[in-house]
Amino acid sequence: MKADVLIVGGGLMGCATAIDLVRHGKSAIVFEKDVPGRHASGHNSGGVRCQGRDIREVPLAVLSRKLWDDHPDTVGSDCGFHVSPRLRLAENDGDMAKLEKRHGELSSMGFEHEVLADREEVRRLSPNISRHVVGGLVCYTDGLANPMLTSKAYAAKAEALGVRVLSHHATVSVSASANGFALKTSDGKTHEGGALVNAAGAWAGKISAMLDDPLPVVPVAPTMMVTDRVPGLMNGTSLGLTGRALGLMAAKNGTVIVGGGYRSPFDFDNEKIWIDSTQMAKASKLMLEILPKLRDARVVRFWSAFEGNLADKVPIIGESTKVPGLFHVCGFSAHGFQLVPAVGRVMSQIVRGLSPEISLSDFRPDRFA
Amino acid sequence: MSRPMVETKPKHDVIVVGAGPAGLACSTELVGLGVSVAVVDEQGEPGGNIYRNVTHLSAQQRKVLGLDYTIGRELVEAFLAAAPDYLPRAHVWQAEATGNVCLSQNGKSRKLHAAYLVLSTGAMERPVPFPGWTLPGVMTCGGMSNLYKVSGLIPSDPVVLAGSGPLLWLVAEHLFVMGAPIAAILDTSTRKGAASAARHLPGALGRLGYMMKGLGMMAAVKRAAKENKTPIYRDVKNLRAEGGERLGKVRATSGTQDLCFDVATLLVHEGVIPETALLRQAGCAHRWNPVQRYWHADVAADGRTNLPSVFVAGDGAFVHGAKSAQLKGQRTALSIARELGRLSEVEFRSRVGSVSKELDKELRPRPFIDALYAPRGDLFHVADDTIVCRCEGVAAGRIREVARTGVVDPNEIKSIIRCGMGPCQGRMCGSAVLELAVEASGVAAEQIRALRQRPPIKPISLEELAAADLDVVSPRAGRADEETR
Repeated sequence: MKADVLIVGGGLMGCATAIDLVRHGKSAIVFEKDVPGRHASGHNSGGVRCQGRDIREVPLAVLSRKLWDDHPDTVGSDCGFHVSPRLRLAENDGDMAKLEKRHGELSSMGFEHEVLADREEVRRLSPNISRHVVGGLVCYTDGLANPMLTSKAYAAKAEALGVRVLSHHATVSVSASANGFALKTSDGKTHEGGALVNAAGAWAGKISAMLDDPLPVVPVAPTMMVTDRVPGLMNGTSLGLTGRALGLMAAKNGTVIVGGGYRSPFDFDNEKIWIDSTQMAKASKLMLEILPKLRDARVVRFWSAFEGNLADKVPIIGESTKVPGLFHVCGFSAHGFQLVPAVGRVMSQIVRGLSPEISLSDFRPDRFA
Repeated sequence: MSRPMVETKPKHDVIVVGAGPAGLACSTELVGLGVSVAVVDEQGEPGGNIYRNVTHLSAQQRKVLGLDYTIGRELVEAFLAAAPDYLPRAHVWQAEATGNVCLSQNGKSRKLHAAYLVLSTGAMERPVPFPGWTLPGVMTCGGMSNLYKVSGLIPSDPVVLAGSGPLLWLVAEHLFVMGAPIAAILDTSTRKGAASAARHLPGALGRLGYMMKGLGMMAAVKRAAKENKTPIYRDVKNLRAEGGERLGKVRATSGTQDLCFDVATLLVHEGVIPETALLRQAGCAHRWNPVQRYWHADVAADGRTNLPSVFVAGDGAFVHGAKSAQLKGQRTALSIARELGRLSEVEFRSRVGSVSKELDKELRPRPFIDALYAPRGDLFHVADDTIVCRCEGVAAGRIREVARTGVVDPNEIKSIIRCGMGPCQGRMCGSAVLELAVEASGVAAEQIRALRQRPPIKPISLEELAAADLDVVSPRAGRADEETR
């Protein structure tokens, strides 16, 4: 088969890019080795947050947040999105100083989405918070969504618009020539395209290596858990910490989704993850320090899925400096979910040869050289 | 109930999960061969579901439950005499492929380490949704049998039994003997089952005693039903439980006849399936059985799985009944003892022959029984408004709706509409979700990914998890230690 653009990876980044490309008259094929949403796209914690993002990602995140509201029109589903203010807590004066510094930085850039909260405002937002918390930084418009529903909605929309989304088509090899790219799939067929998008998530390093443009994207297995329903306990406010690793999301159904950078060991080649319960025990200890009333909440499930990680924790979004026509969109390092709609747009812009509406200079693929 | 908790050594050769026939036989055999064993079981007493409370029966209960049940007593006594480290009232919430388990006992969680893990988690009754199945007053035949085994309690008001499978008839027999009033027995099996079972009959006849026992049980129920003027209806469909706060009426159809019973208790049973949650969570490979329509662990004759440290023994691998489970447990023990060097090759060979032979004999009638009691083709074709996922209140129609969009993987259905996302992780709705997805999409069940199970397979409180003693010991270090001893 032939198309203007070949996209490796049927996760959210791949499908979002494909959707915007076909909306601008390009043809695209998406190659997915499993099914869309099998790993990080469908099994992340669902956080749709601007709060606490690396400063370099903030312009993209702010655009993306606007686009999340448009999902019923753009992908035919609200993706389960609902607002839950994200409050990053200062547990001591040192934390508070960091948050104030961040707030100052954002203000100087012209961003107003994160607001400082004093002791009183923190308790209004989250009445059960531990007494030691001194303040926080809050983004009232943050929320969460359903990652699997989002993944399926994006894949379905892509297909409806004429993108071929080929599930169970692993990319076996791919090569570049003067005329573009030739990609061989696990069924033995070869596909041709003028441009190639590497949106392979945890597998992005493997794909880039096939084209002699190695990227330092490595697989990780972010590990999360969810409690049973504890209605009212979170007061609808999602929480994060400043000096320690914990993220608590207040889902509309009353459960608490717990993440914050916990990892499990894995065997990447065989796609096995051994969920490390000691990590979840650590998270539980922290949770009880922050919200002692969570004591009797029951932990219902741990889970994990593969994600692509980069050492500097911001993604690669841009054209290869070694292989013209090869575009990378990967290494979101366990916080790409919120960025999906904006990334789809800017990716489509650069693949079509336009300059992106938001500068991508911080996400250059060659920044590690 | 007052047995003191045994102080568990930090390391065992083998951890056995489950103290039913397979776990008891396996651990007893292992201890006899000088292997150090920890046995973790959810119940307060050894015996599993089948031999529940077997050491504390009154003479009257023994008489009712019969010889098949009381032979469990020998098994339990041998287990108690062997005295492995026994951890009752403990549930394993995570099994690791390396042989370690995380368990909760007395509100505290900790990790046990061993070189081998035997999962003998047994079987459960196939959960089949129908309108009103969540009403108080609706329970399974197995649940009722646990009640009378433990406390001798039987219903004093009329009950209706509905379903298919040997346990339905066994419970009916017991209830008649104990004098419980039965308003009706509704047999939901089809003639098709009997027809396809017939071709397995020659093999089954090799185990004539077993077959005669089954026939004897059916005859006894028919006789008692006649004496008690209890009607037995065949080819029953459209079962429905009705009531406000609790069950008041049971409705069904038998052929063209509409049935209605005013009863407060309905006992249902649609066969038995392996309890696979822990097996799947550990990562044991599974296979689909098209006759009994369930996923079961893919094991060798000795219970060996795809994971080198993990064995599955008993009904948890495939439902073959108590006697087979016991033999499978023994068989697994012999293989593990050989691997641990406690049995020489010669000793192993001399012992394994008789166990395997007896097991073969025991398994001979199973294809007949499996075909005879195969789940009816339309068993799960419930109305759209029937609740399927009890934890999250998801109805059949919603599952069909999602499946028709092409999403047939129960893992994805779960993520999208929360069906199977509650504390039981689909233990109660998993079979139904799969069958509804098959019905709505036309995709074959074996083409669909089985529902994944995540730790903790039973919920634990956040406080317990925070305080859990889970320090990791490298399994490789454990193995090296083993070899130098």
